[in-house]
Amino acid sequence: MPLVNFTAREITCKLVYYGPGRSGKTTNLQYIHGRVPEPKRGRMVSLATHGDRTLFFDFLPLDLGTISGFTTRFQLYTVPGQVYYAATRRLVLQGADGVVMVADSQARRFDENLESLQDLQDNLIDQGVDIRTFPLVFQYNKQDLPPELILSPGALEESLNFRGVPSFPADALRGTGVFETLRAATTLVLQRLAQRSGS
Amino acid sequence: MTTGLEPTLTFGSLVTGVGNQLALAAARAIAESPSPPFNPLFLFGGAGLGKTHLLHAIGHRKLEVEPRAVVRVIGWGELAEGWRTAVAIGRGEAFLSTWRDADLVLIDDVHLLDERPSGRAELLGLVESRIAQRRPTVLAARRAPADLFAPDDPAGRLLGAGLVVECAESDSAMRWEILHRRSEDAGVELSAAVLEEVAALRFDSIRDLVGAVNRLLAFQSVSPTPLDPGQARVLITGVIEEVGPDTGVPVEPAAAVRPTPEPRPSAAEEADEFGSFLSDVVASVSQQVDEWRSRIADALLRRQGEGYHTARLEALLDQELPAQPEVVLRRFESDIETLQRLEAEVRELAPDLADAAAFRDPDQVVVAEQLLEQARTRDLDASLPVPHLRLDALVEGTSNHLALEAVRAAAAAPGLGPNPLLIVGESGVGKTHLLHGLGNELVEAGRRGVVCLHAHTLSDQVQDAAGTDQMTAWRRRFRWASALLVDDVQLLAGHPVAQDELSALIDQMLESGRRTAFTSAVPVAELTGLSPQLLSRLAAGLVVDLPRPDREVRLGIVRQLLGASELAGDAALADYLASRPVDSVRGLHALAQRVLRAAEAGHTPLSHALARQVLETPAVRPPSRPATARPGVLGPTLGGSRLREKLVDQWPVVGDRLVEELR
Repeated sequence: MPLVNFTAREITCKLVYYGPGRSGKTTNLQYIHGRVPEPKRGRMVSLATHGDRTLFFDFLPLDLGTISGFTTRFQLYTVPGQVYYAATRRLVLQGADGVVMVADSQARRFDENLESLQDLQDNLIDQGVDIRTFPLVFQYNKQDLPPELILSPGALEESLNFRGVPSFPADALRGTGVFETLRAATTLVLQRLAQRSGS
Repeated sequence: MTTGLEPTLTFGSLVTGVGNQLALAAARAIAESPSPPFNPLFLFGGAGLGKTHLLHAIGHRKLEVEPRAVVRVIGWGELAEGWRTAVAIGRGEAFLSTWRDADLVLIDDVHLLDERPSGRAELLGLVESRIAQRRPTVLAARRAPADLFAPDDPAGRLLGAGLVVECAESDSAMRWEILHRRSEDAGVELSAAVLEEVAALRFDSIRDLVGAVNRLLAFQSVSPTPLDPGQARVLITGVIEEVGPDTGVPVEPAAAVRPTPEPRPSAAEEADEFGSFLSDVVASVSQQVDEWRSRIADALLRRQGEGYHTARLEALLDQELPAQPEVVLRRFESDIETLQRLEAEVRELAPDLADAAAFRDPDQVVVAEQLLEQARTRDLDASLPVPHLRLDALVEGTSNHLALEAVRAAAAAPGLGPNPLLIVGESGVGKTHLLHGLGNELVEAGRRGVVCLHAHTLSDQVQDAAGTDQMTAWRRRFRWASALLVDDVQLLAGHPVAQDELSALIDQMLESGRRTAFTSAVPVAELTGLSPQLLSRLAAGLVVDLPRPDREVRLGIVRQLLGASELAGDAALADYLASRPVDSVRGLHALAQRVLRAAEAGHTPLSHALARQVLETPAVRPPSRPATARPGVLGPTLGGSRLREKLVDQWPVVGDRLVEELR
């Protein structure tokens, strides 16, 4: 839940990048890290194996400064995509204010996308989250690959995005769609923050 | 007092130019003049051209000129909604009077009048009434009255009857000033060339211009080098005319969402991505965080329409960034709900108390609770125990020790121990004193609703209530009684309805752990005329006997009676009086009084001898007059009184005569 502390004038939000292994979650964070001015970004913590696979998680804190009198901070996390790190995923997902579902656009990875999406939904339900109102954004990554290898955003949209949440085609390696995805996710989180405060 | 004025929207913060000069002059005139030359003032112009700013500025200025003025600002939609809510709860007139009596009313978004037809006639009547009373009213809308309403619509004539002024688009000088002020406020320096470049651009509204400035400021705050005019134009228009050398300055791509992956952005665009993101987050956070303000305004309006005091919320709105507004709002709403609950109960119990102002003021919940307490126990106060019959005035001895201990235990822990307590004893032995003493102990312990009744009173009340169909109200009186004490319960014999009611009442009291106590001059086993239900309840608790006073008690009572006289220490006199054969405390009192009065009347010193003379000389009864001597009924005539006095004078014992006279 977004932490809004009116006394300390702080807003802190946690965003988690979810998706199957090698779909580009860490690449998203690395790209963001590379574009954020030095004073506004914290140290990116990335625990990876020798094979550059995320073993535990990536963590990128963003300090966006004072907005409307509130010190605003975003904490970006990735989860390990491999199936056997289910416990770690659940741990990282705990307390998330929003999720970016990074799907691999390659046709041969389609089933893994579905599996990861199902895993995400299961974990959210386990944590008592109402997935109908939970801020979620899809990113169809690797759209830069040859068309014969990938599914189009439309096809992916039809198969994965049955809730009709915001979605963005992306090439995280080069940064295309990365900030658009982040922007949409943060907007949803902040909107929900206002709704919750009002309820 | 004011409601809902935005602190930052003052004349001081308003940028003026050719487009709003006339509107500004009119606004100042209506704010500063006690009797403005025009009324209403109608401001119109497109969205974001400063109409709302002018409305709020008028309100602030009015309060500077007249600090005690009541200024109210509202949008037409909220006004209509407030009216609808007020009517729904039957407070439509109160709602209207709130707005009718304000010293200055500022109504925004009047173009919504026909989109929110709820209360159209009444609210237009409100404006008309204010105009008739020469109370200033300022209205703002996107279009002039002539364009908003059909020619035959009286609303157009009414709203346009004063002065109609347009807020036109800003000119470049205004835009430059706005840019300059915003950059100064944000502490971010923009070069003069940038300001001029942006000021030269055309914006549909000031709101758009402010949005553009925010974007420039956000970019500049994350850029190590100053923006140049070209980059500023690109940031705002999204049109990249030419790509210059990479200065490290962020540059925003025009499109926000790409349907398909585009070629990798230029270096400048890449560097700008975070700035663009930050700009959006700034806008989003500002919008969402400020959401509380509109929520509070909504609550304020709604509750005001219902007639509640909203000073707490008004104070909150006057703050620029209050601490924990949600908490304040929740507490306010919670207090209102409490007041509603209290008012509903008071209205049921004591309708005359339900209109108290405290039930409309969330800052007076404590007072409202006290009123409820008063309503709950008011009817019961008439049945309080007699104050002077206190336990500590009783003389304790062997004969009444047990009964006194039982009463003390009941007083110390009314909800515990055997319940009911039934005190049984002959007439005049002190049962009533004990019962009232118990009641007074409970009252002194702070218990409200201690009911101490004689059985006759109880049966009379039941009979009256049954006769006037008020049984429910009678029963409800006892809902908040903390104790029920009934004297001479044996006298309920022959009153079956009263017995049934008392049985039910005992059940209720016992279920909720409340104290009940009774006295009876007849032992339970000998009680006749009472229903088995009532008998079983009376006998189910503790039954204590109060025997005739023993010598120890009688001696104590005599000493108590003589306590104030100089012969209190006359042991022979006290012993003599205490040894006289009496059945009750009441009888002993009568003996002592006879002796005291005889001494007083005969100016004779009080002594053992006098007591013997008074008490042992047989009284001579006056001869009874033949029946023929008292024909008919004696009226209250002077002759009648004299006749009675002569008869009394024939009595041989002075003391007896005095007692009779006293009677």
